[in-house]
Amino acid sequence: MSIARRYTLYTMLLILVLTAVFAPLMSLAAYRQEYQRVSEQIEQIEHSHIPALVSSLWMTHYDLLQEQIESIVEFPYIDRVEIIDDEGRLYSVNYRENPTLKAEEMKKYRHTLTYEHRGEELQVGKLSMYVNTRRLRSDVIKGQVPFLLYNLLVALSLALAVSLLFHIMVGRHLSHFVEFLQSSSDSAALSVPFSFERNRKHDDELNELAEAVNSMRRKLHGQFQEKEMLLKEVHHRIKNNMSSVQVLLRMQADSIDNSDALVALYDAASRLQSMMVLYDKLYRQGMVESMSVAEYLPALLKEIFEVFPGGKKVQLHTEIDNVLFDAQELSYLGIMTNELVTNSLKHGFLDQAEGHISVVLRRQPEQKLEFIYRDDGVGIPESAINGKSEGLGFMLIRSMVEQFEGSIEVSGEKGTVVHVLFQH
Amino acid sequence: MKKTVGLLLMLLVMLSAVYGNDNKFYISTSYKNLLSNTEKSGMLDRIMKEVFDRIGLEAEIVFTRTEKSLVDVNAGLLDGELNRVAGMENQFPNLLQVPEPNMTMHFVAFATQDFQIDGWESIRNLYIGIVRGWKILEQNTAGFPHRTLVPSESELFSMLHKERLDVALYSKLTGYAALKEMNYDEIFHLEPPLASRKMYLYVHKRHADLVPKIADALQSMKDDGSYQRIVSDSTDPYLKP
Repeated sequence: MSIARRYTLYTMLLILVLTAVFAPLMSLAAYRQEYQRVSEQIEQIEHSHIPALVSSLWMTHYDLLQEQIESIVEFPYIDRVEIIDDEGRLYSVNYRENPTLKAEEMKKYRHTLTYEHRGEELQVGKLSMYVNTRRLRSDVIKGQVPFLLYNLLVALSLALAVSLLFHIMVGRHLSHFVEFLQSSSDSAALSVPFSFERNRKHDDELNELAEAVNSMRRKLHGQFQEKEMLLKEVHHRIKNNMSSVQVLLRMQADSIDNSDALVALYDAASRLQSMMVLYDKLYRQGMVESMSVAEYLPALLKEIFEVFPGGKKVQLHTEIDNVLFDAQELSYLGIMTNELVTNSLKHGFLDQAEGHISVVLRRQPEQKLEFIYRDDGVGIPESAINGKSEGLGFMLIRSMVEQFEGSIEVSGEKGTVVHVLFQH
Repeated sequence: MKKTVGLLLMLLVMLSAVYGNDNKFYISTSYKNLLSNTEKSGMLDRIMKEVFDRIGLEAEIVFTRTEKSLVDVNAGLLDGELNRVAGMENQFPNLLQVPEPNMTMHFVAFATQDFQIDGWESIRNLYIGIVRGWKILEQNTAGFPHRTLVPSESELFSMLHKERLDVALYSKLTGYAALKEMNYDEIFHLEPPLASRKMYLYVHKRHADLVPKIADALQSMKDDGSYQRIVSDSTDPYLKP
């Protein structure tokens, strides 16, 4: 969920929570205020109406008394008024007219009505006024409904406004910023500075963010360039060193008579060859971390075929998909391919006028890669296939497959077939 | 509703007075007691009926509120005013007083205990009650320290009954009529009367020619005893034995 939407949601929630907290408090305050008003009203009645009631009772002017009682119930929330005169007669308005009203829902105010006569306070009646507290509460609550609706409307409007403003002022710029970062992750793009697309330049947090990010990107760009230079230099030196070692191995081989030692030295030189091809490619193309296998393997095969004297009578067929491998993986693949090809060229076609070697690497479903090596030579002995007495070459091949966490199948009946399947 | 019906009746009566039967003489009354009432069985109702019979006219008694009664008669909407003290023509110039009085009204003090009184000053310090609007009583008791003005005789005698008053000032005849209705047997009037006033019939000046005839008819009733018979017949049931 975007920040703007969360802003909207949180703003609404905040206002709703505040409303939920304050609405009961305001209702309570309104109820107290209204109740205070009713109490003041009762006091007003005591001052203005009671003398007249007493006078009417004293004069036994009961028609007037009834009118006065009726005028009292005109006051808000005074729903019932009763007067009992000195002879026990009841004069009332709304007496028992509302049976749904319970006694506890009515606040009762009582007064003894007296008249001073001949120096004595004579009781002329008793006044009871009933305030309908239930209706009072209900009216107060009803009065809060517009307040609640108003707050909800404010919450919604404010949340939408915050959301819109945030989107205009921040959200869309951040989205643009993220898109820029995602589209310019390579080292060359690091040199391109970022700026927010705004009508006016503001010296605010977004501007500071852009400056900070651009500064960081500039530093990164410099570090990347330095690292690439360093890696190129390292690869160049490694390649030169390996070339020196290869020359030394071959010179050593030329100087000895023991055929096994000679083969071993040439094999070692050949293995170095596969690594030299890799480092040469990485160095020349400036791709210090990764390279397409479609570029590397054909070059390696060409080098091997040029070195071996019998390579000219063997035809090479390659079918290699364009798959990006890192330097380490290319190294494993190169060693494996070198072992298979040098093995075929050394032993596979000794009694044949010509031969064929096929190297296939192609994509398979579920992000798998299939490597198939095939020659139509004499094949390989059963002991090498089942792994009981294999030479260093096959040991290296199996070791490389393990590095890929893949599987290998070897067949030697009609030439040599090696089938490797691994995840990539 | 009652007001509307009353107004329609009044309009009907007034139209009848102007354009209707020439024999009818419309007399306004504000009483609703033994002197005059809606049943037309009051003492004055019966006297007027007899008086006008004797001069060849038919008396029609019409109830009108006190404050409106004299105004309406003065305006000529009605023919006469039933019972007023002397001097009304000063205030209402279209009225003519019939010189022969209808009756004498005695204003007395009613009490629950018998004691001696002798004129207005003798009751000055008593708790007295009078009906608001009775000018003769209001004027003579002005400044009395314990005076209570009540709206009607009902409250007046009720207060006296509850001993909230020492005396209730009222007309003797109508007072007893009210007491009988209210069943206040313990209340009676004190002698002598505080004031007595002769009461007269007033007619609109367009009926000036009738004034001497009415006076003569009334006098003849008094002379032949028919007046006293009606008075006794109307008031005796209410007066104390």
